[in-house]
Amino acid sequence: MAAHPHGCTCFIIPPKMLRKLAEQTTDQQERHCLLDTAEASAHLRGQRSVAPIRLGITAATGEKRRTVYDAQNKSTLPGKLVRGEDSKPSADKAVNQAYDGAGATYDFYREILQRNSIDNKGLRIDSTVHYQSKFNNAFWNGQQMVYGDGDGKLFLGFTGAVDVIAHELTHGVTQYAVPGGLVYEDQSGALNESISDVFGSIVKQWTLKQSVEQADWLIGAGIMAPSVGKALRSMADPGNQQLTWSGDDQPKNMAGYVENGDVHTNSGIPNHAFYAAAIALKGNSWDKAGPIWYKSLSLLTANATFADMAKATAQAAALLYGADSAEQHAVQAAWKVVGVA
Amino acid sequence: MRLILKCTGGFAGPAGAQTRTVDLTQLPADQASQLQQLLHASDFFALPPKLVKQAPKSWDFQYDLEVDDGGQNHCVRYHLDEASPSLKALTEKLNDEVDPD
Repeated sequence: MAAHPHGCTCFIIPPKMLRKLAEQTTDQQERHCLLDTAEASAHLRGQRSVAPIRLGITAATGEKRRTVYDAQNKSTLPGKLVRGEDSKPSADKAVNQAYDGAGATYDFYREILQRNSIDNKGLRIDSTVHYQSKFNNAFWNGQQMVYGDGDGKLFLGFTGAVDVIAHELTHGVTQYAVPGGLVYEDQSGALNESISDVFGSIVKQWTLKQSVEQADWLIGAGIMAPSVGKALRSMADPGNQQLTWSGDDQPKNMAGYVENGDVHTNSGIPNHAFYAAAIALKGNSWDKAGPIWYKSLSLLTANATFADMAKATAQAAALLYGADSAEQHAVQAAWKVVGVA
Repeated sequence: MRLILKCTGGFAGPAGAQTRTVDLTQLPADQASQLQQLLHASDFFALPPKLVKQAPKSWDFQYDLEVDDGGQNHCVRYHLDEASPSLKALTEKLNDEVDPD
């Protein structure tokens, strides 16, 4: 490796600049060294939050760029750098799963929806695994992915299911694609959740090359302990605890809508509308139903309701396939199935 | 004094909600003292019951912290962005140092 003019332990260089240098170098080992230094430097400067760290590494490139960190069971993000784009697989399964899942999601958005990463400007996809101790969750924090290991009793981990990864990364897509984002409460919050389930499921189906008839339409299959359940949610039959788990309280239509309910509860209604549309449109979910839902995102507003989503998807179907087309009728019929006019 | 912190949000939502319970009398003296100082600095018993964002984002976890010191009991629901630095530090410390129930 050629010696870098700034060396790798020179903390006088601001972390932001170190990261820019890391982005510019073509030497992978040097890039890692610079990123490690930037991380250590940032830590020494007391920059615990993610926001300042991310500033220098979000340049658009149009290339797939994934980075995985290890929080080593603490809350500090992003943690220790453990894998970058094109570097060798780690001995840590969770690291590789986070890396591969981010790649599958990136590829889906790029190849099927012609979207350049989360922000459509080539945002680098960063992920942190082993967050906190026994953390029963995964989340997109506005800038990066974060995965817990699960407590081993209820959840076994979150990196093993590509739909979970695509679900969370899609929160990032929604953040950028819906003007102003979707407020995470009430119906707009349930729509935010549902859109993530929709694209989480499509990415899984696309990865497995499954048609709408072959797909299981489950969200989070395999992440729960078998004694607890098979999956977290079902888009084909929301609330069917035989398919999911004993705590599944999702309604599948407006008759079961829960006033002031959790966004993860009422999302069952728009989830089932997407399922009904995809089944009616036949073939693969990413051929027609997915692009219609994707196109509708830019037609929504921050406080959109289920009725607004029904209108937006019908409008998107008309834009893609023509007004009064079979596709538009299928979408309108799907929303009627769940009781949204 | 007993602290109960519940955290809800993320992919799992209520299914993944986790609660951490800690009795300060059961902790080493210095750790208990640090938590008590943060609690005092946040003026916890004077906080309103809700410190939540007007337009939360998908990454805003909802925290419910209940504190019982024998004489008084108080519960506050909050998003981290609305919490004071000391309440935020207290939350991070509980998350890092106390295992979920």
